[in-house]
Amino acid sequence: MDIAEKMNVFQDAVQVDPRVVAQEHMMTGENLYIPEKTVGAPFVDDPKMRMRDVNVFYGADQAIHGVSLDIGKNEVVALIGPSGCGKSTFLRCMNRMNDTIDICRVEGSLHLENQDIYDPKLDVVELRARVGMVFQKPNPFPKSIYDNVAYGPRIHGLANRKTDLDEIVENSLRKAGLWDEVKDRLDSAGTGLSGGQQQRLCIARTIAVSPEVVLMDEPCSALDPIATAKIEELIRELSESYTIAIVTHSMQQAARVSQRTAYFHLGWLVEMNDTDTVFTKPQHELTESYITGRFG
Amino acid sequence: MDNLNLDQHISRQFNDDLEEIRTSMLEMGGLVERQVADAIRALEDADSTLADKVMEVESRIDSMEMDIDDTCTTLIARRQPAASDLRMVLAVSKTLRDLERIGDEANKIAKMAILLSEQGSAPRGYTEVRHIGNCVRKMLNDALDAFSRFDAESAIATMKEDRQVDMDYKSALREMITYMMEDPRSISRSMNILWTLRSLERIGDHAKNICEHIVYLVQGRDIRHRDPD
Repeated sequence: MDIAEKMNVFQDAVQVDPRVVAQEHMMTGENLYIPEKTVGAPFVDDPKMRMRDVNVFYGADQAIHGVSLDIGKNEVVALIGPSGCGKSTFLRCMNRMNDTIDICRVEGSLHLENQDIYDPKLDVVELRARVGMVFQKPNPFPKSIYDNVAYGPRIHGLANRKTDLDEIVENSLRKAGLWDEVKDRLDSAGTGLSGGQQQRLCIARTIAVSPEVVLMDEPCSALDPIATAKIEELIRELSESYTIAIVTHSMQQAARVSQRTAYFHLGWLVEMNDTDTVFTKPQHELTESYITGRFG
Repeated sequence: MDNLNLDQHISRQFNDDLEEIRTSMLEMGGLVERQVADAIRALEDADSTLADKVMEVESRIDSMEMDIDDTCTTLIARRQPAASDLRMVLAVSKTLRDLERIGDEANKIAKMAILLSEQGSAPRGYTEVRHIGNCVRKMLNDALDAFSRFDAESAIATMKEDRQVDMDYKSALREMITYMMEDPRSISRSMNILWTLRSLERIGDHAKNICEHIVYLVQGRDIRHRDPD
């Protein structure tokens, strides 16, 4: 048997099972497999966002494998999973934030209602006004509190008069639960606020342009428990007007704020179900292992 | 250890905590089983010393219930268990309650045993007590065994036995009433047997509840007030 034949035998051996070994059980050494089809109920009737067979590549590496899911109107969906499972990558596809990464390539269909998000003719700035984003670290502009919130409405031409703009700024700050704390110092720098206040300022800035969907990428990971509780309460209030997708490392947070939860593992969507089911009787062993702290 | 992989958390302390509530609960179960067996024997043999012993164990069972329940509360507060871990803590907590109630029923039977040993034995009903007593003791034993093995199938089989216990109880009841009508002088002593039968029937109900908790723990299905299949 020459070396080429030996290689073929070796490759056949490693490709015996087409399913992906996701995790070796820590104690038993038994293999846990990614399911061939997402477990649970990833689809809803009349969704706000509809994603089908989404693949994402960074150069030659595939980060997301054929993920299909829906996000319903005025729903809070939590995306959870171990580090590097692709949840943030997937979130960033939803308003084309991945466009800023040269080697990133997105395949599949992503729709915001009837709008194809990856339509080459689509104005990305307009898309990001409809699908806003809040990041892990609060990132206010080095401007005044007022200007931070007024920035979006100004560039999108949402207010013609100063009084209209004042109203948008006040409403957005009120919705973000920050108005009472900053109304007397709207001209001071946004960066001078505490971490939790800065994050609520960023949320106010996001909702100032009246988005339909708000994406949140670990919005509380840099905040203390009280600031976190305020943001979580805010998420609940905001879900009355907006559709929200949140990536979080805190499973308790996912359990507290979301109606549905999606569990990602190594770039696959393993399970998506209503949050109550995921946290009391998950249907897939990988989900169970992750949320009960058997690996992560 | 088991098919729920309760010993495989990243945190070994969490493994130990879960294992502790489970083994303590099973230990309490063993004590309650013994208490039921002793109470029935005390009644049959008119042995008031044994009946006294049954009533002494009661306070130990009560304090075990409170201790384990306290550990469950701490575990929820400190670990925020989810999925099978959460179901485990809930199932243990609910089972504790049923075990404690079974202990109470055994206590009542022991009291009847003392009364009957003082007033003289009842003329009828001992065969029924022995028969139903054996049935519910087996149910309790099987339920605790199913809990230790996380065996939902055998829990379902065990809970079905409760129907037969209920039927046997009703027929024993009819027989005792008939006898009391025939011989009113025996009413007082026969009533003690009736209360005993009633306690045994309740023990069967609690064993059935424990089986329901096992099915919830293992399969995540709530089968209370419905057909288990």
